[in-house]
Amino acid sequence: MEISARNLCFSYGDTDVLKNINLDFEKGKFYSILGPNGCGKTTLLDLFIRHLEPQSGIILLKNKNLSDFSRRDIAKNIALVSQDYSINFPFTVKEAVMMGRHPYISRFSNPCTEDTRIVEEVMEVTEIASFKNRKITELSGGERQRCVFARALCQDTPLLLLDEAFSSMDISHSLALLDIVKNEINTKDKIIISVFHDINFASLWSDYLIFMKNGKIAVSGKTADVMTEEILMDVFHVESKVEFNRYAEAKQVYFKTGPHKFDKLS
Amino acid sequence: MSIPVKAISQKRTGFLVILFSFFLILLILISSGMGYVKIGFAEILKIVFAEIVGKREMLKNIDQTMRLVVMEVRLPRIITCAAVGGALSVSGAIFQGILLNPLADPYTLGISAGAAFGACIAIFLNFGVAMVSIPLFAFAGACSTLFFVVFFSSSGKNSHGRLSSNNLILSGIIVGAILSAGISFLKYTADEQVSIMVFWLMGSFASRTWFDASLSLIFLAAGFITTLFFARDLNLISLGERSASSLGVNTRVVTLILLVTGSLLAAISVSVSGIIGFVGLLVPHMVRLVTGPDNRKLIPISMITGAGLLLIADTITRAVLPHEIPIGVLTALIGGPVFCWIFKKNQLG
Repeated sequence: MEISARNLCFSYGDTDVLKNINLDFEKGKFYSILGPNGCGKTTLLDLFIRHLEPQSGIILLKNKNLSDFSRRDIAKNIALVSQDYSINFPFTVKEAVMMGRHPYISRFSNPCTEDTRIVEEVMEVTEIASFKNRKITELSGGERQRCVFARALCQDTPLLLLDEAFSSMDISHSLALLDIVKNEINTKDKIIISVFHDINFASLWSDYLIFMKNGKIAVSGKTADVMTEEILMDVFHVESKVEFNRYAEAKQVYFKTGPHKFDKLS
Repeated sequence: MSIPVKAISQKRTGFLVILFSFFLILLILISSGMGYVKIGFAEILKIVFAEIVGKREMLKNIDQTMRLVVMEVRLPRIITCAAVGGALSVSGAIFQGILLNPLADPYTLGISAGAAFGACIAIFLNFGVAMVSIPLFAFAGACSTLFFVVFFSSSGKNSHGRLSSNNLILSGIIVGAILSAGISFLKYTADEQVSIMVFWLMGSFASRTWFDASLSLIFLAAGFITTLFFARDLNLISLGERSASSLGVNTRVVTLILLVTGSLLAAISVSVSGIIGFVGLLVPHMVRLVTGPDNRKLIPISMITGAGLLLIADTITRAVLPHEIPIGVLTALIGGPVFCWIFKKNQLG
């Protein structure tokens, strides 16, 4: 196992956010985390990058406790595309993407040619090179999100965490970036752990789905096995129709207009 | 933003630092010739050179009072003023980075209110050795305010020991408001000391000694080196806590170190000179338009620019105006409109 969580618990004061999380992630696979708002998805990712420390339980990275790693070494292994892509300071796109090389550049030295090469290459494939000298504060939300994505790719990590990384991106850029990610899985054996709201998107790209509910893992398993009407009803309390779609070559879910029963939400 | 910012290279930063330092030294020499007793530039050079090398016999044919005026009256004040200008600017740049807000300043966290409250207590209790006790009380006031603000913003149930910028700003404003009320109360109850309090609060560099100068220089040097050491981490923190964490920065520790550094710089400035507004807000903001937001360039250049600008302001009130007006009033009178202008210009762009 490349990375796994063992009996992970986390709470803010008296409020339990995560309860007894056990997960294993294998190389070369795409995992999606799905669940209603406030079920602890983002908190779980925060624990993986050690932005937060668990109250109990451990995270194992390459069979070593995550808290034994230096922060810099964690940043060389795990990158996060977070939701906070609002930036108040007018860095240029190139400067912002170069920050992804931060863990590799020592404190008082300048980026080496290798760093510059990686940054240029990533900006090219993520299609942000055309505005690399513009200020990041002047870009649209989707463009900024692509810059943050590019920054995470520059970290060149075996693990990539995506926290609703496509929320303000248009469909063509979302698909293009997911293609890049898929390619990295195939060529570099990366692990992707992504939080999605769009269940169909998750089903399209993921090898495994992890459903969370009230800070616990509700169900997890191969996408084809766990993407069912019963599980969606159990986790999200919605009626739906799940079918295999030949065009998408994956299971897709359909919803219909109400009335929907919100009283079932807990 | 209308002003085109082309990221300046490392080399150009070095060049700018040298150029600006040269201007600052020139400014220090010129301003020490200005004042009630006019002293020529050549004499100033001679006096300063002789004092640095320690050869007083070179000054045989120069009036002894000139030497005294330059060395004992003007230079201490000028150096103190430049150091305070630099300290306030570095402090402003730090706070703007940590609080994720280009409009934060050294006083956002209530440091000035704390220092002012401390100073007012010293004046109120009428401590005899006022020259020593007022700065001391001001410094203590500023430090305890910082302590309370950090304590409040990290002890909340949901904060989880983190120093989020919202929590810091909020607790800074609350603590500041309480202290301001305290100051008003002290002013109301004090009799003849009211005028001393009011005057102190408006800031002044009059009759500063070499003690003040060296104290503020030491703090500035230490603060500057610390800030420069963490400048790259500050860049990442200014992108947001979570991003900084994922890039390998220990956000909590770095934030705390920089917070203390910025506050100590502000505290020493206030203790030495009273409350001088707008320098810490305006200088980093203006410099950012030239250097871009990279703190490794922003911080050194802000420091030199701030030192120069405050020195110019102090020289105006000391030597140009017919009557000396408090420096805090002057910086706000000049800084306010300049700020409005920059703000408007950027909005129109």
